[in-house]
Order: sequence, then structure tokens, then C-alpha cells
Amino acid sequence: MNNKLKEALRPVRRRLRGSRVLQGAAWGLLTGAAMALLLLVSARLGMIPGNWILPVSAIAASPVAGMLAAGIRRISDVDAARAADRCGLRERAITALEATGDSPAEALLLEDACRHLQALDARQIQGRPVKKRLTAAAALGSVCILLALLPGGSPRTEPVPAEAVPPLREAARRLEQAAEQEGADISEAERRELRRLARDVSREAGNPRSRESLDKALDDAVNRLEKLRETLAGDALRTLRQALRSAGAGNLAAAAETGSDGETLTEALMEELGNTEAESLRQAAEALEKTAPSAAAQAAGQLQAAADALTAGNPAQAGNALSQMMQSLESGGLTRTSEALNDLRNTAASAGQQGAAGRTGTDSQQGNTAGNAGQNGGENASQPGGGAGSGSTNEDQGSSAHRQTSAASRGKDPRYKEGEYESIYDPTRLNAGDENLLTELRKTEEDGVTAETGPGAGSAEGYVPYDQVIAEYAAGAAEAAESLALTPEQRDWISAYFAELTK
Amino acid sequence: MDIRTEMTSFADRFARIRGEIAKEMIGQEDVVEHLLLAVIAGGNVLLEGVPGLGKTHLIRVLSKVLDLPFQRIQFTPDLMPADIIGTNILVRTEEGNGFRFQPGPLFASLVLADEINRATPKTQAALLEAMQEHAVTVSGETRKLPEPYFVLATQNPVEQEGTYPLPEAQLDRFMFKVLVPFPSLEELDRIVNLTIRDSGEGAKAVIGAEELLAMREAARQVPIAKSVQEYALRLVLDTHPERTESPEETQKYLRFGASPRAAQALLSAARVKALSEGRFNVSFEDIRYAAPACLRHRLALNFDGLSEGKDIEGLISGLLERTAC
Repeated sequence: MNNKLKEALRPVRRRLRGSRVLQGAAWGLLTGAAMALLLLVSARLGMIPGNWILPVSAIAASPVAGMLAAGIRRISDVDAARAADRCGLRERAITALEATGDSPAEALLLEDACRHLQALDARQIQGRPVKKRLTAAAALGSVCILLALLPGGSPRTEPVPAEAVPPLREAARRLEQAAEQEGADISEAERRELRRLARDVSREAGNPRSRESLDKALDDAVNRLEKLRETLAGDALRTLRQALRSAGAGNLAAAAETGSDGETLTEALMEELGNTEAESLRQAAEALEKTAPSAAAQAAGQLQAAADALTAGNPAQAGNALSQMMQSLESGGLTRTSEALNDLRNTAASAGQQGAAGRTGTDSQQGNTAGNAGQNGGENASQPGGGAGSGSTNEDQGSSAHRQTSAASRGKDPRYKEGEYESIYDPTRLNAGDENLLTELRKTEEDGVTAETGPGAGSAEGYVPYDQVIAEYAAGAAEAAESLALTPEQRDWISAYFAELTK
Repeated sequence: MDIRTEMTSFADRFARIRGEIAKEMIGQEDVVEHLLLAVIAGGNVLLEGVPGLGKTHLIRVLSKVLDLPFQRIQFTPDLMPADIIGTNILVRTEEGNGFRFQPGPLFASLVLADEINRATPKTQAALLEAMQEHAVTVSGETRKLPEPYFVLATQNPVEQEGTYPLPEAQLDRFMFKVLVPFPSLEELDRIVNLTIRDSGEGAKAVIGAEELLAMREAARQVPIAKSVQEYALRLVLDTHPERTESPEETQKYLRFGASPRAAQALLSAARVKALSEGRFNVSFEDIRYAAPACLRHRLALNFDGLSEGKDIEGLISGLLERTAC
């Protein structure tokens, strides 16, 4: 190509690059704004942890990336010639680019094109208009700002204060140690699950991404530990039955078969205690100690104590020992891990309190911790503070207890929906005759959960264990099934359903 | 004069020719421009317009300005080919009787075929060879016509009774079909004044045949960018209804598209247009300027186009809008 023409095209090329950089910035800004909007919407929908850093970074970084991409893109002579031609050169530049200058006509053309290019004011070269893109980016940005400022369901997450991280790490380390130190007689699969559980929660607690993720990890760990303990408790009860049977305490073993849960079993055992030889209990305790999982080790001691009390002619003390034994069995063991996990949760709750200096009673961790305590209490029937809560069935009452306890403190925790809760059946009022048996529970932002009870005799705070009412429900269902025009298969199905529930 | 000088002086000459024609031709700048483009590019022109618009007068003035031998043939239904080509006549010489060719009115540089659609197809066909080959054959002997050679035909679009529409093959031999519009009020006023007052200054010859041929040669040298040439060719191809890539309107309303000769004519005319504006390259604008005159007589509406009242001008405008540069 003619050097003179190339030289004449240089200002055009320079101007074109500037214009493209501007366009790149506009495109980048638009893309960044769209990405920021996407992030904010995703965070609001709970698909990703919400924070403001990512959207702001997207808006800030995208124009720079767009400018860089546009800036490093090569501008060919053809591009420059076309841009110049668009400024009124009427295809002089592009034709001159293809001309060799050999013929007089082409030489004339080259001269003419160079002359016009030199006379061209490079400022005339306009890139594609960026106004529309900038307007669109501004509109998207405004939506982002609105979305970020919109109250309720704010996508922001609370970071865990830096000073709270070391105690969390320490508590997490203790949890892992506790998991390692659990009794050697749990199965390998259970031990692996325990280690995994401890490791997972320890990883999050050691480097918490946000309060929400820490809460989630802790809740998850609690659930997994609970499941593990239930498995172990089931194993322990089975072992107890076998031990009693092998020790010749057939009446006690038969009693142990009648109840599926600890409390029923305890009652059955205590009823049969009078017909049992102390020696049989001792043998059972020995057998239990030899074969039982760790959860039953303590139970074996208590069974031994019951045998001693029976020998001493003190059936009441024996009964107490049996009761304590059942509690030990039901706990499923893993006490070290359980305590270490509780310790970690308390540490996390304190971290929440530290971080919530500017917030007013919205500490969800505190709520969760207290709530979980309520749940445990509800299940063990040892804490009467539960009561008919916000669940839709009686099975939910255990967990509803903790919600009620922590209702005032959880405030704006996005996991709890505000509004009117369902009316639930309150079994504490079964004997209230024709009185209203419903309890209305309302969730309000200011007051937490409020209960509006009917004129029944019961208390909204009472706790009725599931197994005390299921038989009555089953009987009611059977009666209803009989009175309705149902096929035998349907009646069988209902019967099987309640039989399963009763187990 | 070398080609460089020819090219640099082209615009000036062109302007002088236009100026000289404007002395006797009021308005019709676009018609004059197209006529000059075709004449310089070496093409024949079909002028279409109602009677009295000055078509014949314009061609007379052109012959005067270009200083070219001019012949006018008034086409009538009884005009025979021999009447326009010429014929061998019996002559008595010293050696005895013999035949001598008596040239017809086609033997001129500028031939005005007035109301060409009034002649029979046989006579119209006699023009074919002259228009394309610049030669006529009589009694087996081919005779060259003088160079430069142009046929400028006129036809009247309103009085169609007793006329013989030109066949497509003959229409294709015209480089341009130029529509002569009715003058504006101001132009009409000037025309009327010119007829009652003698302006005293008639058009004078500006160039001769030699200069005209030199101008044609200069125009042939004008370079065309590939993109511009592709644009012209795409335009021509887009008139073909049988092509699946052609616009929907083309496929729906046209019976046939423009010939390759149309592409040649389009580029030749665009070259002249570029030089006439002092440019040494062809622009997209030049192509767009020449396209309607180049294409309108080479396209034909099909039954759908006719029944839906479509017109070729509208279809060409649509094509120019749709075909990207």
C-alpha cells in the first residue's frame, strides 16, 4: 500500500480507536449493570449469598474490561478507510487502498484520496452512538440501586466480625477433637459420618463467609448429629432388649418390646420390675456392657444400679435407675461431640451478638440456638416451655417451641416468613367439652408470636407428646373409616398408615 | 491529450456541455444528466414522456453541443427497415448499370428514433444490429456506422393504441430508460417566455466526436473498489425472482430480472458520473444514481405485481433501500 495513503489514514485510525474504546466502555457498563442486576436478583431470591461487593465490582470492572478489549483490537486499514469514506470521502479511501498506482487513473486516485484524507477533520469520524447503551446502563443501574435499597428481603449478608473468628476456630477445633475421641465401639461408617460432620462445620466456622452460611452449617451439623444419635439410640435399645432376653428377664424383654420410644419402654419396664429377679438384671447389665455400643455403656451401669437397688429391696430407687438408664440409651451417646457442637453454637451466637451492635434484636443465631434448645426440650419432655406452637401439625410442636422462644429476638431474619400462622389443633384441650379447641397463633413483626386462645381450659404453652395422642387419633381414624363408605383396601391403607405412625 | 489530462479536465468539460444544453433546455436537469452519462459511456437511451416535453428538442440540442452528425427518424407503422438502414439502388455509370448503396438515416452519429413504438417490430428489429454492433448489414454486406454512434429513442406512454411495444431484447439494448417528467411551474414559465422572446443565444458546439471518444476512454479508466462493484452486482442479482436470496418483493412481483448487460451499463454510467463530479473513483452514490434508469426497462412485473398495482419504480426503490452497501 502506498505509504502516503497509510500516513494519511493514521489520524483516522487513531480516532477510530478512541471511538471504539468509548464504545467498549459503554458496552462494558451495560454488561456490568446487567450482571449486577442479575446478582442482586439472584441474591434476593436466595440463590447466592447476597452482598454489595460483587454487583459494585461488576459495574466498576466491566467498563474497564470493555475498554481494554476494544483498545487492543487491531484496526485495519480497510476499517480506517471505510470510516473515512463515511465522512464524505465517497469511497475514495477504500478504492485507493485497492489501487496499485500503476496506471495514471490510479495515480490520480491516490493523490486525490490522500489530499482528501489530509483535509479530513478526524473529529468528524463518529463511532456508533453510545447514548442508547449508556441510557440502558443507567436504567439498569437505577434498578440495581432500587433493588438494593428496597426494604424487606435485603440481599445483604452480615459478615462475621473478624474478632469473632479465632474463638470460632478454637471451638471448631475442639469439635473435631471431640468427634475423634468418641467411643471406639461405634461402627466405622458412623465414625466416618461423625468426622465428616465435624470437618464440614469446622471448615465453615474456621473461615465463615457470612453469618447466614455459618448458621446454615451449624443447623446442618445439628441435624446430622441428631440423626446419628437416633440411629445409635435405636441400636442401643435393640441391644438392651437382646441383653434382657438373654439374661432370662423375659418379662422385662417382653415389656421392652411393647414400646417403641424411651418413655413407653421405661413405663413398661417399671411395671414389670416387681416381677424381675435382681440377678437377671445384673446379667443383663453385664451383657449390655459387653455388646452394647458406647451409648449403652452408661446404661449398663445404671442397670447394674437398678439390680443393686432391687437386691436392697428398694424398687423405687431401682425404678429411678431404670429411668436414668433409658435416658442414657435414648441420648444415643456422642455426648462429647454434642457438647462441643453446642459450645461452637454458643460461640457463634456470641459472635452474632458482637456483630449485631448496630442491629436491634435481629440476631438470628441467638434465635436459632434458643430455638434448638426448645426443640430438644420439647422432644425430651423435660422442658415444659414448649407448647402448641406455629407448626401445622402436632409433629411440628417440638420445633415450634424454639420458634416461640426466639420469636422476639429473630426480628428480620429472612428465613422466617411474617404473617398469620395456621390454626392448629391443641390436644391439651381434649377434655374441654364443647369449648373452642383452636389456638390462633400470629406472627407479628413487633411482638414475635402471639397466641390467641379460645375459651378452652388448656394452656397454649402445654406440651403433649406425640405418642400420647396418636392412639386416640388412630382410633378416631378407624372409627371414621368404618362409618364412611370405603373399600376394604382403603380401610386397610388407613389402618396401616396409623400403625406406622404408632411405631 | 493524455489520459491524466483527460480525467482532470473531464468534470470541467462535462459542466460546459451541461451549461450549453441548459441554454436551450429549461429544467429537466436530471434527464440531461442521464442523457450525457449514457452518451459518454457509449449507450443508447430510451426517453419516455408525454408529447410536448421537449424530448426531441433535447436530442437536437445535444447533437448541436456535441457537434455530431444528427438524423431524425419519425417512426410510423408503415416505416420499413430499408427506410432506416438504406438500400441498394440501381445506378447508371460509365461502366454500365450497377447497384450503389444509398445509406439510410441510421448513418449518423446521433440518431433520434422518434416515437419508436409506432413502428412495426420488423423495423424496430432493424435497429438492433445498429444499436448493438454499430453496424448494419445490407445485401450480405456489413457496413460500419460512424463512431461515436448513439440511438436516442423516444416513446409516448399514453397513446398506446396502434403501437408496438418494444420487445425485451430490444429494450435491453438501451443503456438507460429515462422518464421525462412534466416541468415545474417555474420551469414552465421560463419555457413559455423562451418561446415568445428570442433569447438570442443558442447552444454552441462544445466538443466534437474526437473529444467525446476521449472522454469515454477516460471514463473507462476510473477504478472501482471491490465493495462498490459487488454492490452493483448484488443490485442486479437481487432483481432476479428465481434466486432464493433475492428480496421477497422481487420473488413475488417480478417476472424476470436484469441482464448482465445491465450490470455493465450500471458500472459504465457510474464511472462517468464519478468523473463528472471530479472524482477518480466510483462511489456507492454513483451506483444508486444510475440504477433506476439502468434497471427500470429491464424488469417486468408478473401477474401478481400487475394485479396488486405494483410499479417497477417502487420495487427498484425498495431494492436500493434494502441492498446494503
